[in-house]
Amino acid sequence: MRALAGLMTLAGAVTTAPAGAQAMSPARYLEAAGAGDLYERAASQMVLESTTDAKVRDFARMMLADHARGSAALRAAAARARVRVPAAALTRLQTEQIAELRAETGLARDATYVAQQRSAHARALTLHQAYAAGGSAAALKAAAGRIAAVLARHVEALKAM
Amino acid sequence: MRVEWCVAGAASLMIGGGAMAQSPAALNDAPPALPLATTATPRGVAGDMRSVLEQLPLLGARPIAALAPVEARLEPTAADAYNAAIRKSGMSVAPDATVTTQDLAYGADPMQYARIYRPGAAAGTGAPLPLLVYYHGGGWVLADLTAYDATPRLLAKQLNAIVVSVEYRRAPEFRFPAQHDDAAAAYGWAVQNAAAWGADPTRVALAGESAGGNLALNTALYARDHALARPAHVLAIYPIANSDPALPSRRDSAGAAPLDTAMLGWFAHYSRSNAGDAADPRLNLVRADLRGLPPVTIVNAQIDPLRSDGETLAQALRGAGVSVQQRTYSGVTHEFFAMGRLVRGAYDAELFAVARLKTAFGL
Repeated sequence: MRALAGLMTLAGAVTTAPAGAQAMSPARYLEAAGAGDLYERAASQMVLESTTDAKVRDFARMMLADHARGSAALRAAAARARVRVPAAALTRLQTEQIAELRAETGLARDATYVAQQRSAHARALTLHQAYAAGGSAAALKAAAGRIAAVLARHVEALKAM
Repeated sequence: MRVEWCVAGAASLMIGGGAMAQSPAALNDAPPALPLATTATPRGVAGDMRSVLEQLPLLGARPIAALAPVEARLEPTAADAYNAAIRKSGMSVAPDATVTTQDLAYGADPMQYARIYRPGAAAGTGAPLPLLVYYHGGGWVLADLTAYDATPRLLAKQLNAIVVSVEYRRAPEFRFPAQHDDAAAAYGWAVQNAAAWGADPTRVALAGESAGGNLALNTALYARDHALARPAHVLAIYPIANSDPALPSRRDSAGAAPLDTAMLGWFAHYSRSNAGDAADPRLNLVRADLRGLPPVTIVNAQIDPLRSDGETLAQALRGAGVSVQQRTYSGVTHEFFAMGRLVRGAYDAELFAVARLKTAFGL
């Protein structure tokens, strides 16, 4: 037992983090946020082409509007912070998710869209909350906090679907 | 010895008060200096399992233990890899629509909610169904109940039971024992509300995967100690149960995917309130007082740093007089469970788990 406790202490020493937080760089935050918004637009447009469910349609329309607004707010904040906004590109995971949506039809596409939205919003909420709490560029930090509040409302809306 | 562990438990309870404070800034904390997996991927992964794991690098997966939590939560999950493999096999990734879901809050925090899974057969029969309370994995830091949709959905269908999949506050925003507190609170809430969902609270069982397997076992202990409805069974799928860093599986599966040994240190770094938590019997379950637990089923994967946790826990349970069946499936890795449409070992493990729960429910 004592030996085990000793090992724990040792392991504790090894896992001690360097002092101070290592927040995301503004460029990395903008890259991840831009990819998220791009995915939201692509996925929501695709489900709008096929859905006959009013709840899915209303949610997808809200996503198109809110994520376009979020992208615009970040571009404005980045200009104030004098940070260049990288060209938005889907991650490999998001590219696969769009391919999965495309492969589904009808109700199966609606259900896949909702499941993907839950995951995408959990990821996006963490991203914006983390930058709002520990980001380095003040203008971007403030924008991240406002976007996180909108995403939290999306998460609640998804719980009702 | 027992007194020492009690002291450790009491100390961590007091620190648990501090763990209530939310700290999203910790999402940015740099990863600990851990020896990253330099060992090669262990041999023996079956071809069907490999076809799933091979999707992770294609989806851009990076080594989790080198990332801050905010980056790690953006990473593809094992469920994402499974979906990619499913699509490439020409099958549908859409969740099985014969099982319907509803999200309901059990606490004030946005993460304190549960997803109620109802099998299609529940409609119109009138007879109350068994209740299964399920906890997802992710080391208490990553993932959520959506990433672990497959297991509760298949158990609801195959058991014809109401399954309650519990979300809980994650670390590092909320550290140990916030997840254990939420797990117990959600169980009490589920038992109380079961009748409204068409479930019979006197026929209740617990299940969980990985960190959630640990929560399922701890909730059974909590129910024993707090006069809550006693579960008829606990299904623990590759649970976290032993804090000894020298376990055989920590070495022989050090470089395994999707869980490597370095990630266990990473999870501990971000989820624990202090180094003493490792000795807390809620984490080091092999040293907990396990007497009086209902029958337990433990499912393990051969190529998994947590395999020895399940194997040593089975011994500890037998030593405490608990009826236990533990199986280690070969050729498969952590997260294999509920991949039964592609992975033979998963299909077999699902059959085993379902049969054990059916027996527990008298089905």
